[in-house]
Amino acid sequence: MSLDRFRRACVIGPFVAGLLLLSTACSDGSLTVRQIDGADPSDPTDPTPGVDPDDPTLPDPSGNNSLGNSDPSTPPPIEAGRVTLRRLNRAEYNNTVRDLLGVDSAPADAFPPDNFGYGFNNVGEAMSVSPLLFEFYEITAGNLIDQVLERPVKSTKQYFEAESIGSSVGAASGGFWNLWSNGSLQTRADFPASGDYIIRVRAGAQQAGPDPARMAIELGAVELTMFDVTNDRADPMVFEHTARIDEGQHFVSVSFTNDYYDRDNGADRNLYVDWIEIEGPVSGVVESNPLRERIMICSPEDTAPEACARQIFEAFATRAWRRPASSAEVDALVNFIGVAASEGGSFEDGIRLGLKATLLSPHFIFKPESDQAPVGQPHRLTQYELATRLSYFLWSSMPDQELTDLAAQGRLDDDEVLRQQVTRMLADERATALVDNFATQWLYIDQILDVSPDYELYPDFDDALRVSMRLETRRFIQDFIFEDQDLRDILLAKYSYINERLATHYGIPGVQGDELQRVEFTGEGRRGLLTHGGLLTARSYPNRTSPVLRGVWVLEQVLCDEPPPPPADVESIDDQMAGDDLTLRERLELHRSKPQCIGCHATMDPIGFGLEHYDPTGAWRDTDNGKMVDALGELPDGRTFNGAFEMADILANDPKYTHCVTEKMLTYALGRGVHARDEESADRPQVDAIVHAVEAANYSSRELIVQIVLSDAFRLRTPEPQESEE
Amino acid sequence: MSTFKRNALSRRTFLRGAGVTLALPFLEAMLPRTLAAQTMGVPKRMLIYYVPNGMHMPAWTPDEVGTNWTPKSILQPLAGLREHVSILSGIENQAGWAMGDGPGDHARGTGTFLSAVRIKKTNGADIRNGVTVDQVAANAFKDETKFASLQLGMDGGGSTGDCDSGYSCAYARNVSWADEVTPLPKLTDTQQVFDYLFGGFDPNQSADAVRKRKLYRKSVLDYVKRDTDELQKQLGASDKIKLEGYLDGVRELERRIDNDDQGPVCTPPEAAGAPTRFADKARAMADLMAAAFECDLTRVITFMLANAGSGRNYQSEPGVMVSGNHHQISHHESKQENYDKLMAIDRWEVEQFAYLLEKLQGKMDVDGNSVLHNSILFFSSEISDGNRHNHDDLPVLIAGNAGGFIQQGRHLKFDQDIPVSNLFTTMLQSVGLDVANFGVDSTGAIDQLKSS
Repeated sequence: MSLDRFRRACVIGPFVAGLLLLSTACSDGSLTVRQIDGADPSDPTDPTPGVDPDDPTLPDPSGNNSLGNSDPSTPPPIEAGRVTLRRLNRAEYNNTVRDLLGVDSAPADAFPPDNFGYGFNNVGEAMSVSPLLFEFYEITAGNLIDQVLERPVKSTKQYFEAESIGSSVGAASGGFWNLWSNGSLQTRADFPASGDYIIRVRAGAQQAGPDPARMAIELGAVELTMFDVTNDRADPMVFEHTARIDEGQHFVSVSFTNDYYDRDNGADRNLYVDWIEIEGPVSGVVESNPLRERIMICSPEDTAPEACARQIFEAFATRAWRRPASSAEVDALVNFIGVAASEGGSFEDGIRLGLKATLLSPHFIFKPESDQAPVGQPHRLTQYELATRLSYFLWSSMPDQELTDLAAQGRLDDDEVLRQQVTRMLADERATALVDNFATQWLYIDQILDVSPDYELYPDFDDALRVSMRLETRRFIQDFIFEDQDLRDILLAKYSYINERLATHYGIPGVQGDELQRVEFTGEGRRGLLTHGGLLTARSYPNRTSPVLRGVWVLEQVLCDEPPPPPADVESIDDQMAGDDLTLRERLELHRSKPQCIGCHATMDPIGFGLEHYDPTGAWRDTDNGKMVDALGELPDGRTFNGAFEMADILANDPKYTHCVTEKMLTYALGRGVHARDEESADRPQVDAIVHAVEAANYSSRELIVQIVLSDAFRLRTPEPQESEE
Repeated sequence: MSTFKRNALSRRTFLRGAGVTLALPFLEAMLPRTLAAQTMGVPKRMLIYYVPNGMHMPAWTPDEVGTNWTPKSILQPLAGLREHVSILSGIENQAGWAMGDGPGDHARGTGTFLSAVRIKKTNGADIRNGVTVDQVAANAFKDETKFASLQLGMDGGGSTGDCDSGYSCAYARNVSWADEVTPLPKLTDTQQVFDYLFGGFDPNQSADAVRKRKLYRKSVLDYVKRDTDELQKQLGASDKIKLEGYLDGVRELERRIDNDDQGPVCTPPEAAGAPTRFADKARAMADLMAAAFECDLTRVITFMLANAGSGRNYQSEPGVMVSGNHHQISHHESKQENYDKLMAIDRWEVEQFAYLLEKLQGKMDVDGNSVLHNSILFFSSEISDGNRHNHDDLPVLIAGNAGGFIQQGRHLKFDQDIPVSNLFTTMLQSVGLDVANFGVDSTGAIDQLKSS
């Protein structure tokens, strides 16, 4: 391998545990690992002697490189972690077939739901494949391929000279076929697709007797129409009939049905047919199917069938598997041409089988990452694996051509290139996936769809309000993904996106129409996500608020804290609640006075109390059960606040908040549990580093995404044993 | 490191592994074909009916024991079916108790609902349960029917990973587990269930076309197996486990394609459509379950009337009309108002079950008995009392005679709590499996349930 090639397509990393281990991952998937401080100087392929100090792919000796300090005597604790093999979840399957095939039908919506792990449904450890799911995969793969390969429907004309097709009676006569007694001309014709077809017959008659000659047109045994042929054979006319005909081959007949012969008077009625023409379909014509053309890049008519199959499968599998398909892998797919042929099937049958197999291959359903270094030694992902992580993080879908090209060129190890890609990809509509999947699961945006407030107590709550609430939070959080915003504003923003319905609910005048519009908040009541109606409603019971549910949500989703474990005897809470005239707060405080309950509730409830001004549908209230609302709250560390605004101020500026956002997003980006709060965990320093960089960038939401992508956790992988140790 | 090792074991190794808290004795029973299938022509069937949030036990447990019991308010809907059901008082699922794992009784009780083994408390990695009783039966019957088993339910997946106090949603949303790590998700859309059971059969297809289609499908599955084997060789231990689940799916579908030579042996019911009202949907599900048994499409069904700790608001449900979150109400705080609401919900749940029983009673089986007679049904919840979250004195109802093996029509009250695994052992025996014990704490079958 020349050094040129080495620089272009290979990456080097990392320094580990006192040994300088150089693992070289090349864009072709090859990887070598060598111990450099014991490098064999006699090995001419050893790249060490020729290392260019300015080579940007090498770790920066200053220690600024994400791979860490290059001083072998003080190695950084690199622990990339391992991402357990992830399969596509429902959203990813939908988006991937959309981008791979151009099919927008979201077939995975019918799959069984994905399990969650660490709060997200893209975590490999928590995702299993049940037989039911596999069956859906199999059915769906077949349906998708059949749908995509639908042949374009072109209108054609088929022309049949009467003398050259079958007949039950008569003889050729001066360019015509003379049906001299009752009988038929018949031909088999192709109807390439169901639709309307025009059948034309040029005919004339030798007239005799009282009636004109009659001519029936039949499809199979069914008569389509009957014509009176009043013109003479010397003056032939074209008779035309349009009928809806199903796809396939059918017999078309032209029949003479009223023969007349008067020997005494020399009167003889005969039908003379010149030709039959079938044109169509004239309805539902689709001149081209671009989805098919994208896959069927050659045709067995123009290219040798096997070579053509090879071209088709190689191109398709390379896209479907998000990396170049090997020649052995393509061979295995080409075999399907033979499978089909041995069953009397067509080339097309074989292609369909191979394409279906490509979509059922674990290389499509899963996102495999290869262990390419000794067990326990972190190494860089291959370029294609990194491109795949990146595109599923930002788009919940496969890499596009640009990303794939960069991977092929080995350029994804350049921090600047990765930064540019993040910017480019977040400007793409596909980045809505971060709202659909990451933000929705982090912030429980869709939980509003599952709750039903008491309609007698809250008659204003209806589906229009429910939908508006969901859209408000989706639109609001989108700014933090598509644009660069201060992460603290998720909690502090003095604006939101609301429509008239929601504005009325919030008591904000001057907003009209169903469309969401940006509204600046001036009065009391609304500020930041904690005051969004959807969240407040979702974290309530149908007939009352739940400071507990709201408090737990803040604790777990905003601070990434967990309630302390309850004492062992918490099993039996046979408590007798007294006093129907108490406010909810008073009742819960009574509950908390019980020793077995205080552990958790002392933490959760006082946070939720801060939101007591918002009723079970998120509307503002001053009283609860006839008494003034008391919105004094307290955080687990003892800081107190009054109401949602003061709480938001404290939370937004709490270092735990930035840590928590980072932990959530990193969990989602990696698809594995991130143990950011565990002092012992190797994840801890990585999360800390990302948080510092984000804080230094004024809590930039964009920098958070970039720093995650640049982190070791995202770019490296630690191999594990192939077999268990037992 | 022990966690890691467990993780690193393949599923199969795990099943074989020594020192694993798994009921090994009945694994043998998973292998041979069932006695029932070999020696008797009459199919035996098992159906599990799960309801959430426990029961209001004072309005459930009959005062009398023996055959002369009177249904209290919750069990009133079963008044006409008394000879086909029994109430069992004093059943405990020991694996449901916290034993240091803290809160999460709904998910824990549901995860262990049919496995009767202790589940691992985790919200993500290394979920760990045991094979469930229905799957032991399904393994024994799988070659007899098109579907080894069916998992059905009313509630889908939910939009968050927040299920119950640090337990994975896998525990809260699935009662059937193929093995320690593989929950079997349920179908929750009636139209989808209908298509799954009765779709795909085209009576107009020629035998040759059917054969060809089958061969094509199997050639693709062969490819997938080889491809997966090949990939497995390159992967670490825990990634291999994920692919093992994939291979299980391939094998199950192969079996399905092999067994799918004919169309249904009965007239499919009318397509269910997609009812929007909860009760309509529950009944449509019951119709589909009855049809699946009648048509012998499967012998094993599990059904969840809701997910663990369901917060459904029954305010709009005719016959219930109770405002509030079911789970919230089940924390009744010993208030009469909540008792009344719970009784209305609980009774409604039993009504849905009674509807299913009537359907099964109305269908004649191959031997002239009703399908209900030849089945064994188990109805219960993840806890007993909603406030106490206790896992003893569970509300347990069984129905059907399993072809005469089980005597019904009684209220049996056990003086000392007996493990639910003993009941599962009995149920497995009743459908013809030669099983001495199920789960880790079973001490044998409950002989009083057997017909003398």
